[in-house]
Amino acid sequence: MSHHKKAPEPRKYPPVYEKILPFLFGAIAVAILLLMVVSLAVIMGWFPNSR
Amino acid sequence: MNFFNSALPFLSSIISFVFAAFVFQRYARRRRSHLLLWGLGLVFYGIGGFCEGYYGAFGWNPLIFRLWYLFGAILVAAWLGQGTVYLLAKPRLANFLMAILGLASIYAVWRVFSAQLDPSLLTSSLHTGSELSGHAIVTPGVRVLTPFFNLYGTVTLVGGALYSAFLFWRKRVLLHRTIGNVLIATGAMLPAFGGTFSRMGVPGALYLGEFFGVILMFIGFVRATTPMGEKMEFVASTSPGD
Repeated sequence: MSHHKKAPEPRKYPPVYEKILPFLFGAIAVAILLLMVVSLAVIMGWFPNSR
Repeated sequence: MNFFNSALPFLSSIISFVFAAFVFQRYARRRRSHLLLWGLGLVFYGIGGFCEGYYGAFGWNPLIFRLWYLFGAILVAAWLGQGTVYLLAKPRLANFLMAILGLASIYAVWRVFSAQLDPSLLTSSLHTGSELSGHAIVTPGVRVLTPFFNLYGTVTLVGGALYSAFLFWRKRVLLHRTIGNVLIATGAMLPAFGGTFSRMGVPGALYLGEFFGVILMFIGFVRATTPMGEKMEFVASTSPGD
């Protein structure tokens, strides 16, 4: 008789969140970068109509 | 009364004050510094929205403008972000940053209330005068304060919410807090986007950003403080954490 200890299964969120959350993290990170670039461009006056 | 220039900011203001009441209620039970600062930040958000709505509905008033610039343009993001600093940083660091923010805020009060104003500048260039903007401030050295406060506020509020969400997600625990923090991070970015697009001449961008921003942050706060599958109940909640 052998006792095989099963490795505990990694915790998981429900499948829909497992799919959506990484995408959302990426989208927010891209949005932060975009915000920084656009804000810098506005401050520097790179947009012709910016105030 | 124009919807975009008066009703929308008034709505944002009402939502902010209701949101602030929820946060203060939670603070009354838990006595955590971050809740007090978030509540104050939301009151500032509400004052800003009220002033925008007042200007859209009734026109120029120097006191309303000064209140808007101080609370709505300078202080709101930084004070909300300081709440997140108290939640995530060591108390000593949070107190140190709070002292700097407090002194900087007093300086901002003095500069805004002693600044010379010219409302005719609101209608110059691209700006139609239908939305409030800092252009009415003539005195140099006042508007330059705003980016410093807003950069600190956006980095701490958005960054803090995203960091919290990432920690919960990595450990696959407390799903409601992961979702809540993602919503808070998204909502906190919207006014910043709105302000940027407003400066690019997109009409209504700032007020729309503020409106949807406070709604998303409110939903995020409710989600983060309510475990999944349970009734949304603030008063009876006894779960640890914030």
